[in-house]
Amino acid sequence: MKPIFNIEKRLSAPPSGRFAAAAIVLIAATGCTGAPEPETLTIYCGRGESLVGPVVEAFQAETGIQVEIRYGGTADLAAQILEEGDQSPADVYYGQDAGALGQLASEGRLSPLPDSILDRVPARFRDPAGRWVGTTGRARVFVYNTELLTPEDLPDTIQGFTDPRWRGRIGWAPTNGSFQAFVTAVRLLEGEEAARAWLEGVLANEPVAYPNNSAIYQAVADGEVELALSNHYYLFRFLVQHGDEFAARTVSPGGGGAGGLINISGGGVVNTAANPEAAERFLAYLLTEAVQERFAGETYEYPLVPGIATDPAVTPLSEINPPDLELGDLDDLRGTLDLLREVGAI
Amino acid sequence: MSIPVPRIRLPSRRLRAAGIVVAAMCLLPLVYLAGRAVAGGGLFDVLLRERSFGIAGRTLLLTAAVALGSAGLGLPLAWLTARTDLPGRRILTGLLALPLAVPSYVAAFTVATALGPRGLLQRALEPFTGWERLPEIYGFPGAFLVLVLLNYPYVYLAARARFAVMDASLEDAARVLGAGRWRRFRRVTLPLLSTALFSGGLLAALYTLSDFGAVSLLRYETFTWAIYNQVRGSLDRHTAAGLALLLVFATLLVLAAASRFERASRPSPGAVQTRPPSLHRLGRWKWAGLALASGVLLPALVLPVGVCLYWLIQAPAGAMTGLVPALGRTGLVSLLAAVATTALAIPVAFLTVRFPSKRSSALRAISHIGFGLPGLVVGLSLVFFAVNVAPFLYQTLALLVFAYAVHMLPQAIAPVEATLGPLSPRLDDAARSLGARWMRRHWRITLPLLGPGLASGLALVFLTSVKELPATLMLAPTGYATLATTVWSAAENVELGRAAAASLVLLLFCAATLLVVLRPGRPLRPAVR
Repeated sequence: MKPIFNIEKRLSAPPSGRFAAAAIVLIAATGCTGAPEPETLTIYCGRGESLVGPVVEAFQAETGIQVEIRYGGTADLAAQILEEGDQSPADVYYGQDAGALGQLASEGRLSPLPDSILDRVPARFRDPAGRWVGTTGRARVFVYNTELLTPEDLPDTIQGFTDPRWRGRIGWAPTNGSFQAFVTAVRLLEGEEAARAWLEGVLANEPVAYPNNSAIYQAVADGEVELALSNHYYLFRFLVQHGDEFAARTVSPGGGGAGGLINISGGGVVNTAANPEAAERFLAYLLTEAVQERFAGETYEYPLVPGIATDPAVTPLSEINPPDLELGDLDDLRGTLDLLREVGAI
Repeated sequence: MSIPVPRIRLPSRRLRAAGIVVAAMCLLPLVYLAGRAVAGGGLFDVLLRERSFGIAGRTLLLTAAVALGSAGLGLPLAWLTARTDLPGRRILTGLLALPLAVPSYVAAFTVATALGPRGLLQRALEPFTGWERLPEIYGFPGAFLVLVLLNYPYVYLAARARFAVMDASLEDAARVLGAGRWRRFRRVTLPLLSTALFSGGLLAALYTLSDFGAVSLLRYETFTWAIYNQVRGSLDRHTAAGLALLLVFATLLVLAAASRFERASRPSPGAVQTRPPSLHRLGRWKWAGLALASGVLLPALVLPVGVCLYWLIQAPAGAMTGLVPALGRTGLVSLLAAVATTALAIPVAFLTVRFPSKRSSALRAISHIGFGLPGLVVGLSLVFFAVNVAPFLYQTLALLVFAYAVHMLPQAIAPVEATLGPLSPRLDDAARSLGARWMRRHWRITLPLLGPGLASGLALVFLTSVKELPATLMLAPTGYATLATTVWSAAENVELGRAAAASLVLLLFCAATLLVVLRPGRPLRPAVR
């Protein structure tokens, strides 16, 4: 209520006073951003604040490096870095999709990383040219309603979703980035025609389209649909909030193919970074045991550094049959979007 | 003998300078887009693609339909709350403006959940009707429904502002001359409302051009959706810029169409309210009125709020932390944006209403471009300019306020024009002849007379600033979390309780603001008679 009263008060004040007041507010608002301190690290972060914020605080406490962190969408922040050009304030780009990292790298906006960072993770979770490194992984899963289905009812591969017996009973999130990366993987592994046939087969089963993965889990638990495609770690976030009576569980598709895709979150050092040493320290910090364990425990993602235990509730990485695929090749999202549009999925 | 030629009125130097500043500001996104699209060949690509024409057709169809739908819904609702004895109209007056503050992706999501082929409504009806599916809502019907439900308040508020200053004598004269109720409405009231209808319909149309949330969730491919796909899918800013230039062209088309109709029906100035008209008694019709109002509020407001409450109840403790500072930041930046934008709208409105010329129509067109563009494009263009021209402003509050002003200016121009239109310039002349200086004339006469228009402009810009997301994420100072960015980041993290809590605080904040601005029964009225 107050702001409007303020306007009216200001409108009735002498004009010179009003302009002075506005000017003071504007100057005060802009005055707090002076020249950046030399030891300030700027991170553009496409991952959630509740997850990354505590890690960044610990990093600041341990290293004494001041961190400025800007949160946004993974793709939007990458586009912003491209638009900022040489003047970009960003030192580190940290996002949750291998495709965006691959695009930034191919536009020449990521600097090569030292082997000491790259060698922390297996080769399939980093850029072959060494410009970005994965920090955590996520698997595709089938989500099912535990009151309507048992694990025996579920298909073994993604092809099962085209079986007419699932007509009207399945859900997906065709606009979601993880889903689209998965479709890109289907295209790369099995070819355009097979990908199109699979999408058309699923569409014939009249899947319910959800805007994101959490909506999928909620819908499955509510029995709105019985079976859906999603990412593995959301389940555990729901279980923390709702307890064991939450009526959805997941299985990892055992049959291999694109269903076994492991996508990553990861980061790179921006080529125009004012502070590349601090940027590399931050990426190295994300790959320390303590932080990897923290990610594994808090987000139920797969730690990518060998030897760190995955949360016991999560299907171990070794039991997932991953396709033979370079993650950086998942950057042809445009072709995927065209295909999804042509078949009428989005 | 020569006949004395009346002195041609020209805008003062001060006014012209202000117009040039506003035009320069609003041209920034266009300059950026032209550079990107031409340098990168994006425009050429886009023009050669067959699909672009389908997108253009769909965009214009949806835009025209939403403008008409918003007028068709906003006008009766304004009449019901302003001119009848509808029960509960004090509360309804505020509530009916509130859908403006509902982010379109929230409304689209809840509408799709409720009205989807196998949504809540279908499950509620199935036991009685046996229907296994409802008709498809995805595509045009859903996008149209959601955008009309969110945008009719533009027409509603403009029409209410006009009703508030309408003089009873005209309708009384018509009555004395024997005109029936319908004829009085059609021949007297409706023409007086035409400016409000056109300006409100124009805002609804331009918002539709720029909307991403509703068209993406309800799957209707328009320019804005295609632009987002280019940027988010392949970081292709050149093709995106080509598409955005076509969107600018669409904005200018819509504007030209609107002003053509508008010119044909612009009321003459000079009507200052001496006595407000009496209220119509609805009698038994009040039930129809209440049904219409609740039929609108149920999907546009009750449903989203209900979904939020559902999530909030299940939220773990701590879902509310940090919301108070976020509320303060939202309030500060939205207030600054509302004041700055409305101040910039005043010279534009004066130039277009008092000094119609080719130049002033060009200024009007330029100032509308930013509103037809999606926030992502406005954000990227200002990233480019700030970084290259004014790096000291980059990611400061001042730049964010600037971005809001470029994006939202038409929302303040429309109501100011609508109140300025019927005012006679002679009042100003009289004050001048009495020796009042510029400052005093405007302070004592113009601004008070513009009161209702300024209040609507402030409210519209404020409400839409509160929910703005893409430009805020790019341009706000680092760490400047607002309510909208909190909703976004919480939803990204599956902290649905927190997302719901932030959405509800946002809506309550907007509701409180509206209650103050609208003050039912005591509309802001010119202080000078």
